[in-house]
Parts: sequence; structure tokens; C-alpha cells
Amino acid sequence: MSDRGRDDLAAALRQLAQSVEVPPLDPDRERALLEAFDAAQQEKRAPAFRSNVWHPVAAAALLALAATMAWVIVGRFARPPAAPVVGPLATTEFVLWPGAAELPTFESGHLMRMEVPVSALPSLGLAPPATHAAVVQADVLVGQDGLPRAVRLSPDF
Amino acid sequence: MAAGEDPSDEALIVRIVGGDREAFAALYRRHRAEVYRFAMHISGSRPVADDVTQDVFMAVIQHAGRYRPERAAVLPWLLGIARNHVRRALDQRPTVTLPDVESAAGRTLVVEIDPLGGLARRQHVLALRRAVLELPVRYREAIVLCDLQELTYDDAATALGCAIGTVRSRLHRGRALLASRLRGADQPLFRTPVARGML
Repeated sequence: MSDRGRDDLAAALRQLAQSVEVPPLDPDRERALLEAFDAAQQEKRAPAFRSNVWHPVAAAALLALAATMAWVIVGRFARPPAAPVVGPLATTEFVLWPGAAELPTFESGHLMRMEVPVSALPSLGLAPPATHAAVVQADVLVGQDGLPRAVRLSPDF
Repeated sequence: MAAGEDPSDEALIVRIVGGDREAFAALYRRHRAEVYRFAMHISGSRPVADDVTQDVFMAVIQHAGRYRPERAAVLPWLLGIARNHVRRALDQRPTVTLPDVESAAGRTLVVEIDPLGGLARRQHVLALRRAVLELPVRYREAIVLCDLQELTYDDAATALGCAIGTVRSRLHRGRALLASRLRGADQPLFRTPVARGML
């Protein structure tokens, strides 16, 4: 581009720059912005307020939790150990082994008695019996393919 | 704000971060027009320019704390925000609204000493605006910031988030494209003495 062409373009662009009419200040738009500003400021202050409010609530909750734990501990040592309670009837019935529904149809199999940790019973769908023992006897029904199909707590666990 | 004070943009931002409503209003009034012009030149649409201007100052409300005076002056920072909003608006609305000669401005009743000259001048401004709007957006941004809004290369680079060299090259390329398009469109911008005289 020649110098003259560049000057012409610059002049034309200046004219274009001046051609845009900026609308006068719109009070509604300004008010909307200022309201948004106020709302943002309130929001900024709000978390501090909320945390101040929740401090005593959290302290009260902690206190209540500590009192409950103390009551449970004292109660446990003050009373004689509870007599073992036989679990609900369901614990002596077979329940489906987790995932067994996906296995081939049960045709034949055998029962295997084994020791199962009490802590593992819920994951097998069995309610843990009221016992201090760490393990209980369980009967596992094993299919023709050697894979477990069902489990129950042994009647004489 | 005390009467007669003319706080710097940076001072206003500090006060805005501190929750000063008046400082925000002052910044809005000071830079609203430049933000609007930028959005208007890039988008060619009044509604987009209106919305972008509002969006930019909403962003200031939310993110004034992110402003770093050591990195940019306030106006380029605002125009950088505006640029992002305009681009988003153009992505959502790819067709550019070209200014209408029968728009409100065009219908304004004026008494012209040289009505034919006035009409021709408006037509040439319109042709130039159309040519600017048809430039690829990266060149358009450089032309608008440096040639129409007269920012320094440094400030334009800040607004565009690129190096000064990139601004220079985009500007150079943009001007060349603009000149060739105007010639290609057979606009008499550079040809006739009448047109030169009008500009």
C-alpha cells in the first residue's frame, strides 16, 4: 500500500470510528448493574455471617456427640454383658450368593460348611448374629461348576 | 467520592474490590462508551454491543479482584473481557447484522449544506464498516483496537492476549486486506477526488 493509500485508509477509519453513536446512559441498565453489585457484595459478606452462625451449632453438636459416647461407654461397663440373642430367622435360610444370578443354572452341587468372618456377613446379605465371636459357621451351596450359589448361617453357628 | 476528585482507573478498581458502589458507577460511566464502541465495531450489532457492555461490567462485579495493575491498564483489561463476550456472541449468532442506512441514525432529520455529499459520505462509511466486518475476526480486532479506538500496540496486545509483534502483523495484514477489499468492491474510496475530498 502506498503512503497515500495508507493515509486515505487511516482517515477513512477515523471517520468510521466517529460514526458509531453510543446510546446515552440508560438509567435502567445502570440501576440493574448497581443492584447486581449490591447483591454480589451481600453474597461476599454472607459466608462470614453463616460461619459465625454455625460455630455455636457445631460446638453444640460436638458436645452432644461426646455426651452420647460417654453414656454408651459408661453403660457398657456398668451393665453385665447381654445374653447372646439368636439372629432373626432369615439368617438360617439360604440367601443368594452375590452375583450367583448371573451364573449358569444350578443343576447339582453340595454344601460346604465354612467359617465366615462376622464382618463379611452383611456383604453376603446376612444379618450378623448377636455374638462376640469374630467368625461364624456358614453353609455355602456350591454348584456343579464349583462356584457358590447360596449361603446361610449354620443352624448351630 | 468527594466532588472534584478524579481517581485513576486502578484506584477505582481497588475501591470496587473493597465494595465501593460509587467507584463502580464511576468506572461504568467512564468506560461504558469505549466498551460499547469496541463491541459495536467488532459485531456490527447494537443489541450485541448493548449486551456485551452490560456483561463486561457484570464481569467486573464478579472478578474485579483478579485485575492486576502490573499487567495491564484498566481499559485494555475491560476490552479483553469484551472481546471474549463478543466472540461468544458471534459464535452463537454467526450472522453479522450490518448497519441499516434506514436506521434511527439514518432517519434523523438534519439540514445539510451539501446533501449529496452527506449521502455519499454516509455510503462510504457504510461500505468501510461492511468491509471491516467482513475481515477475519483476528484482523478486525487489531484494526478496531489500534485504528478505530487508538490503543497503543502494547494495550492492544493486552486486550487480545497476544504479543505486540502479533498485533503489528495482524494490523498490517488487516489493513492490506481492507484496502484490497475496498478496491475489489469497486469502492471509489481511493480513486475519485470527490471521495478523497469527502474523507
